[in-house]
Amino acid sequence: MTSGANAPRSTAAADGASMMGDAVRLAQAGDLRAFESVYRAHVTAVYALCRRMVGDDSEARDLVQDIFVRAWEKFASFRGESSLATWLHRLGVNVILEHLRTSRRDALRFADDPVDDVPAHGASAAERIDARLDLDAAIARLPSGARIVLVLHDLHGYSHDEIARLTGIAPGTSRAQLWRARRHLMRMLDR
Amino acid sequence: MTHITEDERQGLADGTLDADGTAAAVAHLAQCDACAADVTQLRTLMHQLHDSPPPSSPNDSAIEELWTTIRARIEARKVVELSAAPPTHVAAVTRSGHWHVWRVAAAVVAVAAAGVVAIVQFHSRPVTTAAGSPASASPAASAQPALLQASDSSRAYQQQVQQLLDEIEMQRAMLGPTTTAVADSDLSAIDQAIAELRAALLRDPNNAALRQLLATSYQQKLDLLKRLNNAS
Ligand SMILES: [Zn+2]
Repeated sequence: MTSGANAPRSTAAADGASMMGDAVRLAQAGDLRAFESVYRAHVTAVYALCRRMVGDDSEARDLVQDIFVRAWEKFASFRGESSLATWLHRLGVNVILEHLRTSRRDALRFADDPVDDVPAHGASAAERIDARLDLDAAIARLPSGARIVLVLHDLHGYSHDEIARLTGIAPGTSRAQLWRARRHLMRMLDR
Repeated sequence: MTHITEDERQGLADGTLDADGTAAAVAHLAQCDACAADVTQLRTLMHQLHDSPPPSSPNDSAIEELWTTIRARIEARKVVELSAAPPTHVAAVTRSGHWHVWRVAAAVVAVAAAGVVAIVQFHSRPVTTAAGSPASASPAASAQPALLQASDSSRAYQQQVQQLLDEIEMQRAMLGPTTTAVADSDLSAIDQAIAELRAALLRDPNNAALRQLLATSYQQKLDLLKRLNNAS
């Protein structure tokens, strides 16, 4: 590859990227102040992931803490093959799934959870009357198994095979959970 | 008329249905308003999900609060390692891995120069007095109360530290450059932990656990300095 293949980036973007690169290297060497700037750059995205995966603000904040503490511990293993955002996202998904496995015994028991045996969680008549539930509120009210699959598949583009690998369920179960989640959402959003 | 399956509806809506399946399903939709309406609703939901903005992020003060907690947890974790270290063992005083260097370097120096064999000895026998040195090293037992006192008082600690540093400074030549460099690096690691703990205490002055951990760190530094003095 010739040097001409690299399109010049804007100076500001290049500076921003290299500053973040410096922060990453410093943080990997144990500099907590540099890690703070990594935190500030990524906390919003990490929070959004947590908020959607668990559907609860205070639980999401606890998870944001867990994820950044874990990121600090594992930071040396970040090699820059993926972007830092991607690395944090994957680490975050793992921390969240671990948390759900231990804190909600049934959250990930997809396999034992027949699709048509769904509690009418969040889809009560009252909620349908109170129709204009916003999408996030509706996602938050999904049963956790269905919510996790929906967030990973429809919002973050994971395939059913990837979801199966992460959660230990069969790809077919992941698919069934996704459909169930979408149907629930449609009912909650009253259409 | 047989309606299309849930598999086909969902696959049409998110585009995962294969080409043959899609062709057949689309043909059905052309004749069946019910299925067409259902698929349209599913598609609308897909678009809504795709276009949905992320949930509103925590406000600035929540972001600060979160960071404060994260930092405290990271610092506490560092210190758990500190206090979990066996008290008589120079290695493993601070972040894992770091003291290893000291042990290895000490062994290398010991092999190279018979004069500092005492460095290796005090790993197994913490209060060993270096061969030929005067009995200036106080036995650990009698030193304990003073150290504990010092641990709760920064000034007393600083005085003890300065005194020990002065003594070490005079004996640097005897320690040899490698040992001195390693000792400096180890001291600076403890100093960094102390600085971070002090900063954490400034933010959270009533945190008894932090005070205790700071005290432990002070004591570890004093221990290290005394051992260096003994070794030289
Ligand atoms: Zn039909």
